[in-house]
Amino acid sequence: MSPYTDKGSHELRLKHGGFTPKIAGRPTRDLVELTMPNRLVIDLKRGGLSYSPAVRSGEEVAFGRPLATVSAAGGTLSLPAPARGRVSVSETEAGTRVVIDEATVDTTAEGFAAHVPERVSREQINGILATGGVWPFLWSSRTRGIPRLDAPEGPRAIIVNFVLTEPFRARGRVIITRSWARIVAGIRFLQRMVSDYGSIEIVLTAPDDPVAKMIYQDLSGYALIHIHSVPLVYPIENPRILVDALRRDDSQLSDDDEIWVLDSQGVEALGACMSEGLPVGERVVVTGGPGQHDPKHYVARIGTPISGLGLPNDGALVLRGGLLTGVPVDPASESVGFDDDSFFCLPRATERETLSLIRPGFTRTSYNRSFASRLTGHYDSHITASLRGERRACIACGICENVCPAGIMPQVIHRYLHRGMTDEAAKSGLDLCVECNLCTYVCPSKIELTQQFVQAKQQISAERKEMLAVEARAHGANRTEEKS
Amino acid sequence: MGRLLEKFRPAFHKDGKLARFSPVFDAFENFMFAALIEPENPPYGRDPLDLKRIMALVIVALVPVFVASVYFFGWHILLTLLVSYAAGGAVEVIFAIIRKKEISEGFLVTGFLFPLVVPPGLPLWIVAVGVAFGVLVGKEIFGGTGRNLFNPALVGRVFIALAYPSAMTGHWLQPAVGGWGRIIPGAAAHTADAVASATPLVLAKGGTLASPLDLFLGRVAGSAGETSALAIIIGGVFLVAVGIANWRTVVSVIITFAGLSTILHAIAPGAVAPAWFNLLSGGFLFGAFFMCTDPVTGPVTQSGKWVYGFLIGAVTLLIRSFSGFVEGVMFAILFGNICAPLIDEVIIRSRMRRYASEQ
Repeated sequence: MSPYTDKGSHELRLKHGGFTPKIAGRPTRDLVELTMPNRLVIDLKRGGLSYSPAVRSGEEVAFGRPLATVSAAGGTLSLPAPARGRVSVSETEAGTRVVIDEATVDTTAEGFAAHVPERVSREQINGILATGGVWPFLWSSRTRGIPRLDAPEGPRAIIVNFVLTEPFRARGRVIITRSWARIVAGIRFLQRMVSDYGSIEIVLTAPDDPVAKMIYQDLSGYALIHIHSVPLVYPIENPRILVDALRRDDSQLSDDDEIWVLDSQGVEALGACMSEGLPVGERVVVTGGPGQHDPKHYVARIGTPISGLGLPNDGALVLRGGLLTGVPVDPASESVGFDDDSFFCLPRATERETLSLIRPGFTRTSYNRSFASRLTGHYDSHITASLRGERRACIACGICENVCPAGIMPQVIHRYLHRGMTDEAAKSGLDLCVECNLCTYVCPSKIELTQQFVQAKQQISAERKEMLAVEARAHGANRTEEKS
Repeated sequence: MGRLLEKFRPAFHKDGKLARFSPVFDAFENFMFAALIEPENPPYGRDPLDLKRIMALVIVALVPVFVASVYFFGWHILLTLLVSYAAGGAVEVIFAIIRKKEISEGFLVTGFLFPLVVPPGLPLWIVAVGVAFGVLVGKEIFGGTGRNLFNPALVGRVFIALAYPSAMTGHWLQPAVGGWGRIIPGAAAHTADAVASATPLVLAKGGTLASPLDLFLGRVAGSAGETSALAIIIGGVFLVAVGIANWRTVVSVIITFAGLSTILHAIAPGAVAPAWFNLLSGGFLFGAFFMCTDPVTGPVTQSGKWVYGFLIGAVTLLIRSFSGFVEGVMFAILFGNICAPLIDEVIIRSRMRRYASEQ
C-alpha cells in the first residue's frame, strides 16, 4: 500500500468471458524512428467525423496550424498540421484529403505554448486539446464517444489504460519507455480536468509493475491516483468494459458519474500538447501478424504513407487496427492517421488444405481445445484472410456465450434477429454488446454476429428517432388544436 | 485427388449435365479440401474451428465405442453402419438437391450414432428405414441441421421401436467373451450368434443383477454401442476434454442420475436398482455423453444445460424404475428435447430482467 493512493492496487476483472487468440507475428519492442517523408497525406476523416479544410491549396502552413475543423462535441475540433510545408487540398473517393509537400519538422508549433498544470484552468485545457488534436483521444462513458467540450464539470474519474491485448497494438511498455516524462505530465494535467475529488485510475498489467513504482515516485503529492492491474485478456482495453469493471470495483462510483478513458498514446499526446506545446504530430504504430516477417514498432509522422512501414508486398491483406477490429486498407494509397497504432498483415488464403477437419492442428490455435497447439503452446501461423470453414446455421454450441465479455448471449440474440424479433433481441441485452467481435471470431458456423447486431442496433435507434418525431408532431398538432 | 475433382467440376457446374447434383460435388470437395471464403466483415481472420471439425471430433470419440461393438457383436456392425450412412445420406442429398442448399455435415454424426443405438442383430432393412425416418422427420422437415427440435437418431429409433417391436426386442446378441472377441471371425470362444433372451435391465426387473465387471467392459447383451461403459467413457471424456461436448450437461445428467438412484434405492430397494448398476447398464452413459450433448437439440443457453441435464437424469431413472419400460434414456432425452426451448425461455426471461437493470 502506497501513501499516495488511498486504496492500494485493485485488480479490474472482466465480468465474463474474454479471449486472446494466440497469433504469430507479435511485434518486438524494437522501435524504429522513421525519417519524415517529403510528402504527407492527411485524410480529413477521424473517428467518424468529417472535417472541413481550413487551408487552401498552395498555402504554406506551419506545424500545428489547423488543417481542418469540425463543429462537434459542443465546440470546435481541429486537425493540426503535423509538419511545416505547402498544402494542396483534393477530393478523393474516400473524402477530402490534404497533402503537405516539402514537409519539414519544426521544434515549436504555431499557436501553442508550454503550460504548467497549476496555472491553467479546465476550460483553457479543453480549448488547447481541441485545437491540438488531442481531444478525440478521450472517450466518455456519458456520450460513448468524444466527451463534451462544454460540459459544466469534469468527469468523476479518468482511466488511463496502458494495456492493449488485441493482436497486435502498440505496446504500452514501448510508449512508456519512450515518453515517460510526457506521460507523467499528461497525468498531472488530467488531475486538473477531473471534477472535485475526482480520481485518476491507472491500468497496468500487474500491480508490481515497475511502472507503478515510477508513478508513485514521480507523482508523489498528487492525490487520488489509483493503480489497477488487469488480466491480459481481450477486450479489456474496450472503454465500455473498463468503465464497467471500474464501477463494479469502486462502489462509490454511481451509474450517473461520468468516466473518461484514455490510452497510453493519448495521455502521452496530452502531456506533449500541454507541457511542451506540441500538438499531435506523430504516432507509434506496429506492423504485425503472420504476414509480416519483421514485426516491430515504428514512430511515424502523421501522414506518412503506410508503404513506408515495411509492410509485405506479397498481396497480403493489411488491416488498419488489430486482428479483431481492423478493417482492410490499401497499403499503396493510405497513410498513418491520427488514431492509428496498428497495421495487421493477414496472408491471403491460397491453398486449400486437404482434410483439415481431422488434422491435429499444431500451427493453428483456437478457443476450442481440440487443436494440438494447446499442448505445444504454438502460435497460429496458419491464420489467413478466410472464414476457415463454411457458413452454417447456428447449432447453439454456446462458444459465443462463453467468450462474450459483456455477459450477454449472442446465440440467443442471433436467433431472435434471425426470426425478425427485434424487440426480444433488444430485451436480451443487445445494447450491452461492446462490438468487440469475439463472438464472430470464434463462431464455428461462421455467422456474422457482430454485423447483424450493429445493423439491428441502427434499426432500433432509427425507429426510436422516428417514434419520437411522430410523438413530437402529434404533440404539436394537439397544441395547435388546443389553441384554435 | 485435386486433379480428379477438377476433371469432374465442369459436369457439376451451373450449366453442366449434372448441375442438379452440385451439392454432392460441393460437399465432397469441401470435405476433402478446406473451403476458401474471404470474410466480408471484421474480424478478417477467424478461429479455425468449424462445423466439420466438430462433427469429425464426435466421430473420433465414437470410434472406441464402435470398436467395442465390433469386438462384442462382430463385423455385422460395420455393415449396419454402411447401410445407415447410405440411407441417411440419401435422404440428406435428396433434400439438399430439392432445397438447392449445401449438404450439412450433421448426418455424418446421425448416421454413425444410429447403428450404435439399435440391437446388433437388427435386419438391415429396418436400419435403413429407421435412419431414413430419423433424418427425414427428425431433421429435414424442421429445416436441416441447426433447426431440428429432436435428436434425429433417437427419432429414428423411437419410430422403429414402435413400428417393429418384436424385431427391436428379439435381436439381442450374446456378446463374445475373451480373446479376440469377434474381431477375427471364427476366433471367438462363442462363435454362434446366439440370440440372448434379455438385456441386463430386463434381468434386473426379475431381480438378477449383472456383474459390475461385465457391465463395465460390455460383456452383456444390449444395443450395439451401449454395452461397454469403458469404451463410452474413453470416447465421452475425450469429447468433453476437447470442449465439444458441453461439460455442464454431462456433469448435471450423471450427478442427478447417480444421486437420485442412490437416494431412491435407499428408500425403495425393490423398485430402484443400486446406483452403480443404473449407471453402467442400458444406454444411460451413451445417452449422457453422446446424445444429451447434441447442442442443437439441447437448450441454447449455458445455464439451461444444467437444468436440461437434471431433467434427463431424473426422468430416465423414473421411467426405468417406475414404468413398464425397462429403459428410459431414449424417452427422457426426447422429453428433454421438447423441454429445452421452455428451459431457455425461463432462463432468458430472468436474464432479460437483469439486462434491463444494467442498461
